[in-house]
Amino acid sequence: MTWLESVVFWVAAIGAVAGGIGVVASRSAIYSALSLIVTLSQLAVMYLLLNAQFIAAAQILIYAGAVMVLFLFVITLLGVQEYPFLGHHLPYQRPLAVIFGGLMLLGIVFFVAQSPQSITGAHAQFNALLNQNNVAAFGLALFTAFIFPFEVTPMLLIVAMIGAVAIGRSRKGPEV
Amino acid sequence: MTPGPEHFLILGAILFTLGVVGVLTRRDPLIIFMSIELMLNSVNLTFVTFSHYLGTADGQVFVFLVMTVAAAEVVVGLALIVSIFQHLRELDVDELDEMRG
Amino acid sequence: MEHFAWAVLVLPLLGFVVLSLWQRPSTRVVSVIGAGSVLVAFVCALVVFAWLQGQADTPAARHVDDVGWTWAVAGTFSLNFGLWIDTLSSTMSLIITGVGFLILLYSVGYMRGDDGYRRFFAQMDLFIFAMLLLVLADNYVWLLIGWAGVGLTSYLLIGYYYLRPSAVAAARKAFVMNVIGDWGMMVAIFVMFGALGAVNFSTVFSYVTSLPYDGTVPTVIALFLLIGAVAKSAQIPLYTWLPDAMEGPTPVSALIHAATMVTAGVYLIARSYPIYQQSPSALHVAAFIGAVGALYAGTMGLANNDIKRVLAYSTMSQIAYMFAAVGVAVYSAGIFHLLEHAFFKALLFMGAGAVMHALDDVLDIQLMGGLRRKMPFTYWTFLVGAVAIIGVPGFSGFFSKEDVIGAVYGRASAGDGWMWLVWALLVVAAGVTAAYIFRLFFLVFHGEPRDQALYDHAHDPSLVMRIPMAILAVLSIIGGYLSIPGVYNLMEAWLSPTFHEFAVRGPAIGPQPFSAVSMIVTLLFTLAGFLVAWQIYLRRSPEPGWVGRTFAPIYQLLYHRYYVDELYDLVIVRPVLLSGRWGLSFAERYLIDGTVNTTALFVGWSSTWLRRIQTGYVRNYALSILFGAILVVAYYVIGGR
Repeated sequence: MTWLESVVFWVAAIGAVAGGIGVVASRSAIYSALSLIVTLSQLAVMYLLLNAQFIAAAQILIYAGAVMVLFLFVITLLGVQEYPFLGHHLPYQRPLAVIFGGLMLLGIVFFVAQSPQSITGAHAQFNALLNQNNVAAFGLALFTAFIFPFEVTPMLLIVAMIGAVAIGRSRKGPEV
Repeated sequence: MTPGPEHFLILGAILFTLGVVGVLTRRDPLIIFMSIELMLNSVNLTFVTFSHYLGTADGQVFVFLVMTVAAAEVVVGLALIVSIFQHLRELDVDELDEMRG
Repeated sequence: MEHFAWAVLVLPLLGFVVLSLWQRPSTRVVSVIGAGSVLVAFVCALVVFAWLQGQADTPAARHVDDVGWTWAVAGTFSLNFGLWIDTLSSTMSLIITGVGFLILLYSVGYMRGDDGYRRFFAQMDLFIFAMLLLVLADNYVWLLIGWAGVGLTSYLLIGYYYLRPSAVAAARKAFVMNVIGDWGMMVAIFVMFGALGAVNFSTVFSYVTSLPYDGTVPTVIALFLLIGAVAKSAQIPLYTWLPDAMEGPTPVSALIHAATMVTAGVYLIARSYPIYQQSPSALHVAAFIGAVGALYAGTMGLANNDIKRVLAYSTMSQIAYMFAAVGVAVYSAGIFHLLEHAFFKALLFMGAGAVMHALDDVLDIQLMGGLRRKMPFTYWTFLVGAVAIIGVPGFSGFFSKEDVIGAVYGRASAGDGWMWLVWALLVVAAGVTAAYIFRLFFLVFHGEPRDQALYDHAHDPSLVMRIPMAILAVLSIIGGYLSIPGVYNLMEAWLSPTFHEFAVRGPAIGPQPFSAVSMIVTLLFTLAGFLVAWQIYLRRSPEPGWVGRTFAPIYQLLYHRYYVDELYDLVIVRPVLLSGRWGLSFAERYLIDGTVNTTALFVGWSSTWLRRIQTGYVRNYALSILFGAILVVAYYVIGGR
């Protein structure tokens, strides 16, 4: 990696983490949504760094473009509400969550730090095309090895659509 | 330092942990949902990292499918949240506590 | 020829099945199927007998082990269901089907008009099948199955009048005592299997000589088999069920408790002769059980007032003679007496049944008397049976009893000192036999009638009952001529191939030298017993109770059958019942129910405590998921792969 790429990496990394903290810690939902958009775009930059152009584009289009817009619709529909930062119902929830989260992070870092070398290098299924023309390689894989999930996923989308319509339609009579 | 695979992975882990803490700590269902999205994205990052460093396209295909499914999930989840709001007139997961022993 | 052998076994079973399933057959159909199946089986048994006769007189030629099919295989052990056809089993099957048929013919008349007519014949056919299975099986397991089968049918038939509490109790008592015998048999089979690795006759009998002579193992096997024999044949100490078994209908008493089932013990010992030859100690035990039992049972018969119970004690006594015979390893003498006993005992029971039928089912001989004028046919046939049983020369019982007593005498003279005691007991018992049989005879048929109302109704039985009685009377006379002591012994010759088939140790099996001394002494005792009965019960014709008062203490002891039933009740029955009650009140309530209830309570407490995890808050559930995830991570951190 060139030094430019390293710089880009660090900037994007910090941005992503900042966005993440913003999602979790913001007082209002709108702020959380906007922070999430920041994080998502920083991740798209990461994908570009990792030479996954198609995924980067998909990230922007689908996630930042469609999913977050949907979130914002719903937030504005329902109105922004002020909540206390942490619930007072369950006093132990917050400390325990932080502790457990910290433990898990430590565990994962421990693993990752152990053997990074084994991840790189020649692999039996090493796809040379991937580094040259990402989209072509990705498309090849999607339409040959993963053709079945590819065909089934639209079914899932249709079901989700129908489900959403069924849940969301208004009912006759008094509000139950 | 030059970022290697471990940097990406640790970044993914941090984002994941942030998402977990968000799910466990916040009471607004929308924010919980967004934390879940954060977790999903961190996993996507991990997948793409491995795809790059192992030289196989499988990781990216997975990411693609995850995005699709996440989109579907968001659709249904938001529909549910709207429906609950119409029912309870306030958005607080702690209010949904009737299924207990 | 084998087909005929299988037919012998299967035909009575078919009779049972048909009679069980056919819902409302006419009386005639039941009689024909019930008795006819046994008759055809008898004919088939005759065919087998004739075939065996036609073979050369060697053990190999006169034995067929017809393997039906392999029934069970477990590793190297395999068990067949097959028939063991030799002179012994042929003899037994002839007795069972022949005498069985005659008794069934008698039952056609005896049970006429009874509601359970079909049930009776079905169960009798089943009994005959089980008994045939017992004598024809070629291994101990199937013998045991037949053994259990006759125990079951005995229970069913003793309890035939199941609405009578005394009959039900008697049936249960018989069954429980039989089960003790079954247990003994099973232990013997287990030891046999453990020591020899097989339970079929050919293997066991061939290899039993490899066990130490008079050693622990063969003695254990022999003694446990003896427990079974003692239970089934109503010998000391498992005999108290036999008198009570007279609750069943008279044909049942005749067939099961005189001619066949109770002789199964004798058959077992004779069949297992290689095992017994290997353990002379067990033989001695059998001989003593026989000798003591013969005298002991005879004395009880002297004081009993129930016509059938006297005959029951007589049966026990005569079977004791057979035990004594096989106990001195003269097996053919035991089987010979078994054959003759079947004839005259069945005849005697039929006579008793005729008397009962005539007197409205009264059993108490103190209410009888003078019946010879009203029932001449019964009188003469009963006399034939009585004369045969006491062993008057010329009648069948004489020849077989002489064979038995002479055999004991022979062994005693040959050096087995203890056998003198056995001989003495048997001789005295012969005298007692004469006494009680003729006491019965004189009280029932002679003198003045003691109940005029009953006497007026008395009459001879119907034709269908008289025919079998006549046949048996003839057999009781001529049947003995199979052997004349000192001259020839056809029975011993006929059975010799069976008892010489396997090489054995111990006392040599063969005919015993004739002893005039033994014969004369026995006859003297018999005459003495007869004279005592004649003097007391005929000449003086005392009023009832005279004997009881004069010999009061002895009479009380005999009348109450040495109080053995009471002893068993005190020592065995009551403790069992008490422990059962204790079990119910303590063990059942506190231990078992307590455990179960406490477990249920514990489940309740823990669930109350565990319920608190279900708070209803989604966030708590998510927290627990995270906790689980951490455990998994920790597992891998610690080093799991």
